[in-house]
Amino acid sequence: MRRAKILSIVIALVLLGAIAFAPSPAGLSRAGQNAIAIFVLCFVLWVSNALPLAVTSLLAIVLLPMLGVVPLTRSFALFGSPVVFFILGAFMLAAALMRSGLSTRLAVAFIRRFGKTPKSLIAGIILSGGFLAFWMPEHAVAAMLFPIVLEIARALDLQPRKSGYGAALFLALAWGAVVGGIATFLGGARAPLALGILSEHYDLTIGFLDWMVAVAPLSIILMFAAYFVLTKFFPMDVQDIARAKDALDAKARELGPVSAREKGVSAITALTIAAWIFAGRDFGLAPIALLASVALFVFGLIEWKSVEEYVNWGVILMYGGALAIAAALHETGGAKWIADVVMARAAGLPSMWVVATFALLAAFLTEAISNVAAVALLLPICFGVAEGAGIGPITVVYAVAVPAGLAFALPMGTPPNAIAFSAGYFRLKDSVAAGAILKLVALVILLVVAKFYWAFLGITG
Amino acid sequence: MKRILLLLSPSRVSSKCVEAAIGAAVKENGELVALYIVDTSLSDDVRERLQDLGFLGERPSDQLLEEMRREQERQGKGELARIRELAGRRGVDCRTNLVEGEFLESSLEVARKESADAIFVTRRERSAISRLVAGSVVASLRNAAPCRVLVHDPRGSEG
Repeated sequence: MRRAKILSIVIALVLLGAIAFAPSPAGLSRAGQNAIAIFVLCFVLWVSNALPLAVTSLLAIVLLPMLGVVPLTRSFALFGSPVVFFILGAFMLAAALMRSGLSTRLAVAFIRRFGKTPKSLIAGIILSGGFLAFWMPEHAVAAMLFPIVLEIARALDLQPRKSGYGAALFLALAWGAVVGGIATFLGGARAPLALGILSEHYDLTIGFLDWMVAVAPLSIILMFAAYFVLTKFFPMDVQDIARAKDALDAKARELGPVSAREKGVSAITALTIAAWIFAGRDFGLAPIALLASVALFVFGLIEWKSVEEYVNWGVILMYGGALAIAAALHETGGAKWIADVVMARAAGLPSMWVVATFALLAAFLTEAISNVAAVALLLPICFGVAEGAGIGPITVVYAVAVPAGLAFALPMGTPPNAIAFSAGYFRLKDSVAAGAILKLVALVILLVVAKFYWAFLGITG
Repeated sequence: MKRILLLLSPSRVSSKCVEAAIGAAVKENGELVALYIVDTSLSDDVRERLQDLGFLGERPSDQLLEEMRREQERQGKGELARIRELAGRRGVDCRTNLVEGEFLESSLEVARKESADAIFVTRRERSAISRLVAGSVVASLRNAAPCRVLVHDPRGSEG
């Protein structure tokens, strides 16, 4: 592993040097060329995970002024982007949901309600993960569901790597969280990042409700698709789930009555979501998120120590760096130059084909790399290509950010898949085969939704 | 008496490899030592993904990894019990051991301590490209082991 990391770092640095010191092609400024060189460096490091995502971002922020791409103050200023603070506030809210135990209680209640038969238990896990990922990061949902699903698997005495039902249970955990995570800005970090890049490039935004109206129905359809694929692909080799129900009942008893902390957190979460929906455009998403975080402290619902334990501050560095690279590519003309090269080959393609190509690129790239990195790498280039093809930037955000969240097959794509795989109940070839089927189904559904529903909403033409 | 060491971990479990190791113990009239390693490099990998890609905090990551470790231990105990039973049916003396640690290091330590005459191990399921780029633990084991290493490939061949 260490060898692969060193190799990736060497390749990234060689490419950086090769591009930065090559003669400038016609139509590309020196600053633009250097921006592309840094972009390629980040591409290699983000794809290979040779360094933590946040550290790669830090490197980019340092290289941008050093190579004369943007001034020092501009490079560092993007850490102050509202979208960074929105994510921070949303993560703090999620920390309160986990710390209070409310998220576990909701998950157990959901699964108990649906878990009447083996198949409905699978549905319950998908819906539970999906619904919770509407309101908190999908990886946090998967981590929270993991011990519950493990408890179910143990109660049913499922054989790791042998029981089809065991494989379906753990993939339900991952896929529920993944498809639920696309529905709002809270489920995954990619949509807010896309929003930040959109705002930096075009001074445009997408409302919390607008996104939900456009994407939540797709998310719900995909939950059904995931259920269908799992129950058809894996043999349901369990007839009776009485012992799983007993385990869930025991878990519910263990949680005890709803605490004052849980009530407080649920009230603040509900008010915050309502404020994002109804007042997000007027006040901005970030101030509402931060006010909600302050309210959590005012009412004693969370302590700073817990926030430090539950929130990984690397997210700020990752976002600042990704926004800085996108802005540098845009402002120096680097993105436009790449787009012109691409468009020279894609000239004359109907706009729907271009949008579909964006979606396919995002959907496949996200299987191998972090979905946030997929958005950070694709969006600046796709914006440039879309300008040449006469496609609006908001369409591009949906076409890239939504499929970038749909990683089903490989454990390296997204943490929920890695969490589910680590339980050892399915083999890699199982998730690759079933995930490829769901990916194909999801892409067809996405394109149909884009063609008809998003066109009806005025997102796609 | 020859001593056959069978190596297992959460990502290296293969019925064919178990059968081959028991078969070798029968043929050599030897003893089978089955070692299940709760491989910490797997949990380190998950931690890296959770924290570097998912930006999950320290506490939920620790809770999740502890749960994962317990499950791997439980699966290891189950696997070792199954091997004891299979070996017993073939009249092979079998000792089992469950340790937590890095796969290569733990394997070599036990191989030396037990003075193993042969090691049976299976490859992890992954692509040839991944093996080429990231290197192979089995190849390192072959280089450093104090005895011959028989590798079972999940895709079929043995070497």
